[in-house]
Amino acid sequence: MTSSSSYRPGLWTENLQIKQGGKVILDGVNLRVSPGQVTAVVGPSGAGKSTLLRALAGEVRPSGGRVGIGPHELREIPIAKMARVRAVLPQDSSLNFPFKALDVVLMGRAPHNSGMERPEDIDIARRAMAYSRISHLEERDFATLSGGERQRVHFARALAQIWPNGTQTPMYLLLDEPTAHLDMAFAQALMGGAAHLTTNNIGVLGVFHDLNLAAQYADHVVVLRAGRLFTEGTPAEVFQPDKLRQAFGWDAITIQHPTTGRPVVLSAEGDKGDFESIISA
Amino acid sequence: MLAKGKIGTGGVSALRHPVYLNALAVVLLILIIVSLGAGAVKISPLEVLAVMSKAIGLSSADPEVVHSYVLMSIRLPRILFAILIGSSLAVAGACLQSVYRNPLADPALIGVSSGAAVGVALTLVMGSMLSGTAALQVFLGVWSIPIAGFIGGLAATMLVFRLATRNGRTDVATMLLAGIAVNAFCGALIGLMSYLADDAQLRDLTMWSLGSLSGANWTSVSTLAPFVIVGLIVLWRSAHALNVLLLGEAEAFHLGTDVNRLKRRIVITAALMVGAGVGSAGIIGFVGLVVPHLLRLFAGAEHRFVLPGSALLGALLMVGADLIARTLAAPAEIPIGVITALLGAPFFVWLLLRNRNKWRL
Repeated sequence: MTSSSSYRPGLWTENLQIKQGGKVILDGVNLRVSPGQVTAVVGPSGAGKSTLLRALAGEVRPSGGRVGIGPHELREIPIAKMARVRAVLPQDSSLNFPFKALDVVLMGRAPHNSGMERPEDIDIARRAMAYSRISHLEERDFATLSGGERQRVHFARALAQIWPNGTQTPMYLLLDEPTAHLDMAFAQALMGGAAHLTTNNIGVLGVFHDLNLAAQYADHVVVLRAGRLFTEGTPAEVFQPDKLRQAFGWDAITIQHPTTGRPVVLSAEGDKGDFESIISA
Repeated sequence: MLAKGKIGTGGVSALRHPVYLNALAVVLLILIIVSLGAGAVKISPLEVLAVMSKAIGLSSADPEVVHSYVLMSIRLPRILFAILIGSSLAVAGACLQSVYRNPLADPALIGVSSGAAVGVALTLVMGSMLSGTAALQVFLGVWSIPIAGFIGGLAATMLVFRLATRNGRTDVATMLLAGIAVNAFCGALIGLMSYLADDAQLRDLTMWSLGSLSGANWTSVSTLAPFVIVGLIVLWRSAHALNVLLLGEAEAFHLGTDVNRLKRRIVITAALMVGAGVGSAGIIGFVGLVVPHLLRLFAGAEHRFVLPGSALLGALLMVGADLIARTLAAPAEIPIGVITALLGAPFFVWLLLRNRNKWRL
């Protein structure tokens, strides 16, 4: 690393710009995912949330600015080395071939063994499945699982990839709308499990559609709008009616959760647009 | 291995695989002995074993000279040839299916084989017309045919891949349509070659294009073997990475795989094996489709099982098909490509119907 020798903790972007097909998807984004914290990225559809996650994963290269972990830019880190400290839970992932759920989770250990899993890999895979509460699915054919079950298997796979090894090396878990296919109870279980990882010096970044899930679990919330960082802060700072109106064009009110004290976001009232005149015209 | 065994409840598929693989190896061995004995000159299994053990210096028994000659100079090279072709088609098929992430990718269906065939036809026919290819032929000798097959097969594979893959995902319908287009175009080129060929070339071309093992001898075995062995080793070493690739290209990248490098390695190696095989034995379809699919049906898609399993079952199928080819209508011989197509095409239709919804065809 020659361009910057200063130590930066976390997984970060600096003045990140991403262009795809001549279109600017992200511009001037500065972000830090700190180990030990849950960072939530929210914003309207098309704001560039998933692209930001893919840039942090190293999947898309910046057109401008930089992305890195600690003192290194991602492009300087070998793909295999990167995979030992960063796992990604994709939004949805298809698998047309018959694999047992346990075998899929074991694939998460691929960066740590050279093709032949060791007993400790199998042990970690089983523990990751227990952590994700899917031990009962171990022997099932992945292709026969429901959308929600698959999502949890992939979560366990991502966990197995960055399973705490006792060294307190900072590691990162990137979640792309992790609860999209999940029922409420499973969504809570998954997010609770992800948030608890922060106690092992893991930094969690989640892209969320559901603002209340972000409000409930995030330490830090980043709001993207039209490819730019609109605002950031604690859930209480960010989830305020005026900011939500500007970011989402949505009339919302915020109340305080009676037990957690965190903000809860609600629609101010139903949309009473001029529907009738369109019908009767 | 022992430590793994203790883990216990059979959770890891890899643990069950040796049973299947051993069973396949035993059946293959029996079939080889049967096949060595079958034909115009019938030879008993015991005598087959006696000749074989003498050949490798294990026994000093004195088998009949004619039998010994038939076995060692005619049948053994032919069966080894069948094993090489069957293994390479099946393993290349399995790997291409993983790269395309689609169980329908068969070397013959998606145009690899016919691309290879064009390369071979060009070399066979144009060899004497174009001084360039003639020089190449003189320079490369027996290698010119497999190398021409490799180049043709690689070109076709790259083309289909380009046409059918967008954003890292392969569209099945486009892939099969691209295969049809490549096959049609290659068919036309081969037709053109037949038109241009003189009588001797035409006979070579026709015999070869039907898919036949009848030309097998020790020279063809030793020409093909290096391609197949190197290919099998390269693909075997990629087995684990191929498992991960089945999750998706982005997912494989997240898990530390250099996806583009892996894909390039697999596609080139598969084209090398298929191209060399097609160059030697013509187009033999469906082996690459049927074999990996059957294995996945029984024991899952884990490549550390599917790849060696494909090598064994592919060899088994080819030795079996060759046995049928040369005994069913004896003394005449049915082209082996005809037999594999007769067995494989209905299987392909069954696959299509079974997965119609899943692949949106």
